[in-house]
Amino acid sequence: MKRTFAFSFSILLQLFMFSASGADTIAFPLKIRAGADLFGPAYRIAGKNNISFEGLLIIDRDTSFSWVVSAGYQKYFFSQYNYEYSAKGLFFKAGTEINAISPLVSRGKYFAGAGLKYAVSFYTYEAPFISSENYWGEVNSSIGRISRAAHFIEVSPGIRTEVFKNIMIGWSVHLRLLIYSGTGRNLRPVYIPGYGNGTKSFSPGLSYYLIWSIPYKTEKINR
Amino acid sequence: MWPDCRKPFHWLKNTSGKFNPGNTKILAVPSTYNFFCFSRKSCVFMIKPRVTGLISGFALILLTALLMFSCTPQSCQEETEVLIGASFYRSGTGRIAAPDSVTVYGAGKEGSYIYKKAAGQQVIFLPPDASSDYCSFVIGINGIYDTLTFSYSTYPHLLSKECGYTFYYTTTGCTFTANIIDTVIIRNNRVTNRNEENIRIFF
Repeated sequence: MKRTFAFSFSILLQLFMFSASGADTIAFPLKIRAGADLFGPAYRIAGKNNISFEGLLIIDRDTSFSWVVSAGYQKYFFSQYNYEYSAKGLFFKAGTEINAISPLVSRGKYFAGAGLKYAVSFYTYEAPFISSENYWGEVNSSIGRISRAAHFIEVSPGIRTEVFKNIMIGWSVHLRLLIYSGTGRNLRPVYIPGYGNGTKSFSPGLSYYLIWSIPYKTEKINR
Repeated sequence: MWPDCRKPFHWLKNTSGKFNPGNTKILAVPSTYNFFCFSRKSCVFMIKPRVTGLISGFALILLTALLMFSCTPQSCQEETEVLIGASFYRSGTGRIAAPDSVTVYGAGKEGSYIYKKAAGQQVIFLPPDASSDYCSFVIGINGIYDTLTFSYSTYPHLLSKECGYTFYYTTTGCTFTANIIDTVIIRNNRVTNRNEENIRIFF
């Protein structure tokens, strides 16, 4: 009888504690975030020939997981003693992002995690000047405009923080893996907009984001 | 009534100077915080090291990646010369053999030798003319001269960003005078920067 009473008391106590802790929740704001990469325009202002614009949209699915889509435009020019190359195009990326910080700490304001995206770049390129020299002398030639679509995967670890209410800044490193450049072996692109060096199967990059967040839903999480 | 210790900053602010005045019990603290009591009247909450460590770790990984893949210009490392590889074979035996001496120059470029009385050459490399669909070489084997003419199609090939473009060739034919050369066989019609054997010259 004594044991039964102790057991029943224990169960009641646990139920009480469970209901008490269930009531103790915090509101986690799920947000739609719209942002822009500031690194491209800054690179342009710094006097480089290349133009790059990229905007992104992040939609929180839950406290840790988000959907990401981004689109951008890039124009690239490269010249050295034996050739000139130019490329321009639009690129689109879609994927997911996971925040490794606990929701209790991040509360929708901090991000330290990684994104995984699949990307397609629709681009045109040309080499208006090619020079090659051998025993017979120098030969000058050119490659006319070619339009292609490249496919790649992008892994983007990064950090972001809210500096003002609903305004975030942060940066990400992009590690890109080329799946298909859209060209044959001979006329590989020197540069693919949105990807980088088209002669390499791996291309790194950097973005510095300014993001505006719009709360659209509140999710209650237990402490 | 137990105080709500799971709101650390709120709790600390409201009890500043009077930490835990009634010696009340602590129910729980958030999993992301550590709760330290130095004495009965002084307790602090701190973000757990694993959280700060996580953020620091991420920053470290990102910085390392940046350093590893910095935009340092690189030099051209690839082979830029595209040459037709020609091996010498004896007609009688069919075995590879180096002539006693080999002299090679481009037709119309007398005095500009590619090889001049070179000894021990089992293989020679001939540069095609990218500005034309064909080119001819004068080849002297053991002092006897022949003219070898290649016809080919030319196409540009990107070596790398650093090296730029070169021209590759697809050999479509080969004609020759037969003073000492007996036969020419095209073994591989793709002429690239690998400088492999493309033709066999039997003499």
